[in-house]
Amino acid sequence: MKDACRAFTEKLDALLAGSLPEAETGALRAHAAACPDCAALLALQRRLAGVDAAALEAAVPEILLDGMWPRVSEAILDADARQRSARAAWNWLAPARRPWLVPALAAAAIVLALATGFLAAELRRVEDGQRLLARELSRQERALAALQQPAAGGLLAAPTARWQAAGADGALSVGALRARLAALPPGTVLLDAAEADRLRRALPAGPGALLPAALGGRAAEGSLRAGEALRLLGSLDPDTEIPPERVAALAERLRGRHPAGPRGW
Amino acid sequence: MNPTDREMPDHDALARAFRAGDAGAFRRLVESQSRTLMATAWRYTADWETARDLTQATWVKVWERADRWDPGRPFRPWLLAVHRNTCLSWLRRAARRREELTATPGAGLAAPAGEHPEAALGRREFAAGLRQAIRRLSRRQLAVFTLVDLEQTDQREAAGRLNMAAGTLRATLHAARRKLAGQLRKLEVEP
Repeated sequence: MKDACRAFTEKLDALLAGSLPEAETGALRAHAAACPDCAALLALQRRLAGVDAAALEAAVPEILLDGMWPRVSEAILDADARQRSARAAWNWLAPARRPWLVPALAAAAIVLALATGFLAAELRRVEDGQRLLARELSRQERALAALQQPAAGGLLAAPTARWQAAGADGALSVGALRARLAALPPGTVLLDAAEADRLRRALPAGPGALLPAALGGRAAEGSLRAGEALRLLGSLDPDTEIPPERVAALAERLRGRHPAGPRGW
Repeated sequence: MNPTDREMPDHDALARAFRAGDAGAFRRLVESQSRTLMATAWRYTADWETARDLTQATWVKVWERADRWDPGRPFRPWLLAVHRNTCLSWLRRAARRREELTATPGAGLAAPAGEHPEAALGRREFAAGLRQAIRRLSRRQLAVFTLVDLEQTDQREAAGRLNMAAGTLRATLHAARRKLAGQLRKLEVEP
């Protein structure tokens, strides 16, 4: 800041109060006329000092003053009501007034902690179960995918086509059938009782009717599952060929009953 | 109410009675001191209704915080200090809300009655500019400026209230004024 500006700032109040010698007043006004910063400062102070306190108090609108006490008392009542409400809530909870509250809260906290622990354990158990289930599903999906690969026997690869192929080739040994059955989950339902019975009746007995006989024998007692069929076939020579016409008849039968293959595959 | 009511010599006694639980004494304080509080608030707001709202807010604070007043000291400076804080809070909020700066009349720094419309417009622009400009002041500068220039408190008294040496107060005040004038010029507001 220039010296002249500093002097102007320091003498501003005296300038506005008119308490400076005339010469000094003239010099300061001349400086303000040439210095925009000091001119702004002077204008600002004129504006700020321009309101007389007594005149301002006399100008206060009476109507607003008359309404002051009603407004203040109402605002205080509102504030009091809010405070009372907050105090009441605290007082209700205050241990001195509710001696049972602390033990009750402690008990509630313990119950909550136990319940939380229990729930956490349950959650872990459920999650473990879900993980096991997911693993099992994954395993089954992998097995299913393997079965659908023609190189792995393709037992389930396009089931209908597979049965048709079996009928067309006419060659299916007991060993090949066992290999395919072994790849299935043991609980897989191959035939229900009625289907097995119809199959037994449709296929003639004899050396070439080993499988139908086995199936029929089981079917009379109920549905046949892969595991049981495998066990029944276990006593047979794996090289035994199931005659083409039997395979074709079986394929035809199953294709008619199960366009997409045996149930559960 | 008469303007001379503020000269009532017994507001300290009324305040002590109020502090002891006399609601009637509180009412008499409200009725006798509100004129001064409204005039002070108008210097900040230039709007009588806003000044009324700020005065009301100050009285609610006084009611709630009466126990903070030391009965061994005069009541009026304490009351004015509470009111100044109310007004300064409003000023800071208003300075942050630009839309309010242009929507309300602004800091009342010129004669409120019988004003020519053009002068009133200029006052509003100035007030809005001033509120913007005071954001540039430090806390100390703002305290000195509001006390001395807005409330027209004597500098010696202001130094005492702010616990500040007279020279320090003067230097702070001059710096605040310079900064404000510069800001107003930047904002192209004619003081």
